[in-house]
Amino acid sequence: MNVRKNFHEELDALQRDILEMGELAEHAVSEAVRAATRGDEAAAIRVIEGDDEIDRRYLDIEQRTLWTLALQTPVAADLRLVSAIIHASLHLERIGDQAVNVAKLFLLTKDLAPSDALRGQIREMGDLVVQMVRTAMEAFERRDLELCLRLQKMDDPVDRLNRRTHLEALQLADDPAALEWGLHMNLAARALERVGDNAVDIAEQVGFLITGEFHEFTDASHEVDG
Amino acid sequence: MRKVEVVDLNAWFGTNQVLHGISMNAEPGSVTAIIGPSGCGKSTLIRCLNRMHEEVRGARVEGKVLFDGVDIYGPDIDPSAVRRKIGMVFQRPNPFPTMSVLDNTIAGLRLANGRMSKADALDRAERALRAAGLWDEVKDELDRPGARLSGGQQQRLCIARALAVEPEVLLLDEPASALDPISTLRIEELVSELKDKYTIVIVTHNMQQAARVSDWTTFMLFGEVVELGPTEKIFTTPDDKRTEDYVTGRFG
Repeated sequence: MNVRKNFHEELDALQRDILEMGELAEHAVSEAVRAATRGDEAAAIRVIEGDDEIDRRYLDIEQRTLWTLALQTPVAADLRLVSAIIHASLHLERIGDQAVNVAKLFLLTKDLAPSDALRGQIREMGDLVVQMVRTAMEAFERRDLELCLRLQKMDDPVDRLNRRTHLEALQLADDPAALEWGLHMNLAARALERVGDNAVDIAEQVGFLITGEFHEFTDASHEVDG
Repeated sequence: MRKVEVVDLNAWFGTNQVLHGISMNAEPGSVTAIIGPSGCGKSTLIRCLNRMHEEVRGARVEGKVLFDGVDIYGPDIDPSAVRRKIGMVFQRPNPFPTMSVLDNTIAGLRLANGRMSKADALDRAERALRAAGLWDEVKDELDRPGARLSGGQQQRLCIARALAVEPEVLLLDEPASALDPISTLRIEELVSELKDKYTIVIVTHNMQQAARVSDWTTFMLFGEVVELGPTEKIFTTPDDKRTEDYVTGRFG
């Protein structure tokens, strides 16, 4: 028997909302990468305009989790869920912002000549980080520790690609217009790399939700090959 | 050394066994909360800790309660001596209604020590009332009947009465459940202050109170200890599913 039915219904609703917010953030990144790699201006504008909805949901979730803490004093798994939702909503809001950064960087350089190699790298990074966000949110929904732990490994190729983008950009040094495009895409790569980090952070929170123990998956001093 | 150590304790009311193989302990300088649903045996357990349970007709106890390593149920132990060392405060404030605040405070002391000088009585009462956080409110009306105080003040008077005999362990059986929220918070604050000097065991059915005041929490169900651990752990990551269900309210 559940003697705190209303409270637990609100927790269920918050969880549904954070999963939806995850879908929106994932979609925003996907659209931004599509804009940057296929020259889809309309997609870039949709990402920028759509960020208001992600921000609105972030504020709504933040307000409701604060109320829940103040009025319901959750404990044990309920407390860990509220804590994970607060952290995840902030990371998802940041992911939305990074998608906007990528979209804006594309719009700033849309008339410049792109490099296929670099565009390919951005596309590859985009595919990887979108998959990371999806995996982190799936782990949240299914309380799947194995999926959480997978995130750390998934982040390695993203970091490797990010390190390579500035080298690719430097290849364009002979052509000032191409170089300008390349430097902007280097920043876009950095934004995507941050999306990957935010997905790892969400997975850490889900790990805490499941086990009650918090472990940072990525050590700042962790060396990545390549 | 553990101040109080309960080892395989069983208790009965007549033929009805209400505690089953309880083992737990209370450390000096800390507050141990006992939580659990009504009828789980938490009040019986706390009453076993100073031999109050056996005062009920037909009630009996088996097992050990070690106080500083000595079994209080040992053959040569005087229950009154146990109760002087292990004081108790009950759910409802129960000052002697016609006695003054002063006489109430030292009532237990008089019972234990016999007559004492007025100066000595005043001195001991002041110390106990200060420790119970009541002195400033009653110092000018020590002759007033104890029953004229507010509910919260009466409960602090009862705590002062328990402290006056200078116990080492203080047992609190739902000490704030009959009080308003502000008086409740004052009692909780007092418990936090007293724990430096006393070993405190508190029974409460208010889980948030247990979370606020205690360092250790014991969760009981059907006369058994389900889980015992640091309070932060019990309220964030309990080991036992039954504890989880109880503290999160998924248990009717």
